[in-house]
Amino acid sequence: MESSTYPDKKFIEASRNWVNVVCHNEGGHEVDAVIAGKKVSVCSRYWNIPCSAHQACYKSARSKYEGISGVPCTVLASPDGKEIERLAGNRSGSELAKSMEKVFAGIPAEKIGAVEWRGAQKLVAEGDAAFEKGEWKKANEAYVKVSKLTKKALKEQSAEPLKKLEAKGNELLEEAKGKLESEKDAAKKLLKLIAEGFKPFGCAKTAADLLKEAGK
Amino acid sequence: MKVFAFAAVLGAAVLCAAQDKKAKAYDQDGVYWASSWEEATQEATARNVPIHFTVHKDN
Repeated sequence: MESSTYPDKKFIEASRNWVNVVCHNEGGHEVDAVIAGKKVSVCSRYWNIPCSAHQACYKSARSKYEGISGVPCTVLASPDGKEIERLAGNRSGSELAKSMEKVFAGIPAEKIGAVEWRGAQKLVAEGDAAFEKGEWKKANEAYVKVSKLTKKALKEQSAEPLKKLEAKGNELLEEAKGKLESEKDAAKKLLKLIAEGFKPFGCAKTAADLLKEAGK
Repeated sequence: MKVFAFAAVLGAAVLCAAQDKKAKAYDQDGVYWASSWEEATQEATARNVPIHFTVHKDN
């Protein structure tokens, strides 16, 4: 199924609405590749993970579902892991996709597709990287983009990062206030950074007001 | 002998490039497999999506 079913476009499209777990005990099919400029070791059967991942899944997760004797065996489960359907033996991409679509349709409430999920995670990661470098405006823009996504579970990913950013803004504001008497130019520079980079937090408005005062 | 060695190096380079291309394309266009059961269950709950669990090659 690794060479026929999983590369099937119909299956790949269906899989985007699922979380996919493979338990495969054999290793040794790793190849070196360069992805996004980084040298990585990936499994040539399940390309986005190393062999150690599918082997570890085999050790830790194989026994999650009882009575799996023959392989390949596919279990379609609810979001909380409860078995809904079991498919023993090989299945073509379109067969498997059809079964998956049927099960998917029975899951109630809002669901998040893999592409939009990864998109939100990427934005948060970009925001985190900018935060680490002290690029506050860039971090803010990334986190705010996530907070404006329509689906609740995606929006929620911005909550902690925005809290962290606001705390940083408040910290920098205190630092700027401390410098107003002794290092006025440095204080003004910092206040400008806060006013521009930390909207719509309160610290940005306070910084803008202090900057106006300091300019008089 | 030199020609043979050169051909071997060239062949290896072509193979690496092909693997890189396949890995890059797969990274975007292929199935997203979870790195662990724990990651899978956390993500399935967060996204409210079902889990596709498959077992292959039991030795």
